[in-house]
Amino acid sequence: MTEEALKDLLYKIADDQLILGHRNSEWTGMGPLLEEDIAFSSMAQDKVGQSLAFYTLLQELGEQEPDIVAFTRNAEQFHNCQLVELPSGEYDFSLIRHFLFDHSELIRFQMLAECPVEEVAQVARKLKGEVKYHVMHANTWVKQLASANDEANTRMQKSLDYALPYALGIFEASKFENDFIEAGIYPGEKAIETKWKENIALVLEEAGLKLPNWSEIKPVYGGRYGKHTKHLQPLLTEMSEVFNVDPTADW
Amino acid sequence: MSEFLNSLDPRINRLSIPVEFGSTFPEKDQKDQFITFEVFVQPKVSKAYQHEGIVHAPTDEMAFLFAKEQFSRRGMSCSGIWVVRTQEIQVSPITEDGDNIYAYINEEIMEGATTSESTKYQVFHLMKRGKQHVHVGEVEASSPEQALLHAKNSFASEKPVFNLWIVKDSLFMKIEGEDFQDIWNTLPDKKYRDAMDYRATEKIKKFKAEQNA
Repeated sequence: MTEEALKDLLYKIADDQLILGHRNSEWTGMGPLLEEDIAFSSMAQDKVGQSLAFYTLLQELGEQEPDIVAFTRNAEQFHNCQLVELPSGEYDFSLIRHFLFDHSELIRFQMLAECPVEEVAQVARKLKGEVKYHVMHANTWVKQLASANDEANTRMQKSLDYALPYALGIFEASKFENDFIEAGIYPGEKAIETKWKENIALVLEEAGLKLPNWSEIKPVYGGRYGKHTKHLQPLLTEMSEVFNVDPTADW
Repeated sequence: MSEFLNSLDPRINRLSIPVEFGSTFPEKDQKDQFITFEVFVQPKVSKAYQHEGIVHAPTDEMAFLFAKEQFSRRGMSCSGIWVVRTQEIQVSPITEDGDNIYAYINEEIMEGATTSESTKYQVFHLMKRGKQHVHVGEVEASSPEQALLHAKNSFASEKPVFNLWIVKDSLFMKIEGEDFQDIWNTLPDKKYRDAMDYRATEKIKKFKAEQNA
């Protein structure tokens, strides 16, 4: 496997985390109750911290330092899936996105924990515990809200239906897909997708939410190749606003 | 004498803690917020669980979710969290000065106690006013009153205990043990959550020196 392939993998993981971390941090100070405000903000911070771990691996592979990579690229240079860049919307959508994304991330980290590239395996092993809590959080909330009352259930179902095509975009195949599988880096996006469908179905069924027929959902692809919604660039502009005041400042 | 513990601390008064040991907390007519849960944190396996505070939540599962980010988001390590509904905690009276609460616990407190099948109770001590209740161990008993008496036999010493909490073990939600250790894996890396990590003095001195130059 080439270094280019490994970088492709690390970039998409790091970019997903940075963008979702930033999106979720928009709830800070506005969460539905104080305790949840703190919990959701903490997890948003975790995500940004996780992106730093992967940008640091990229730096070791010769890429620029994490701050430069995070703050100076344009939307089309980002490899995140479109799911994570969508506006936060109402809390039901943010929770559903958190649920769908983190389930995939937990499987990804569990697989990467066995990666023969030891540096990558180490980071994955360390971070998967953190993501395990994120998934516990997501599962509990989804079950709680979906069974609360009719309005809550309807809203959760609506958000789920809206998010699913984008969620399938998490698993958009890389052009290096076969290289990863052959080199045993991880079993590939299809494998994550299959396991993910099983895992979320268990929770959604318990929660009383309906999964549509997968064959009827058209995945929203493009994010992994730099094709994004109109929502990503404004997010990046806002995120890098302070950095751009003085890019050489030492924080 | 009032029905509830009367304290100079308004937070204590708001809790409406019954003076009578073992009596239940009064129900409010209308709930204006979620019920509260008490949170106990174990900083590492070799240390005792310690009361850290309160979270509001609709269920014990959610109480744990909140407790984790409220009370174990900083520090070097964490190995477990227990949560229990506030109303399940049996609170002893609080003593004054150097008075040991165990001095007031004897066979008489068992009179009129409602007994049931023998079960496990967890015992917490308040050793210093203003500090937190710390877990000291567990006892088998058939009522909270008997648990107090057994706690006296097992845990009383020369050092005065100012207040006791007794909680039926089965009522705790416990997140601990090997299955959960990894959720606190990255705690030592989160220095950025501590003010200590933001050392600005040197930078300010340098900045001032540059301004004055």
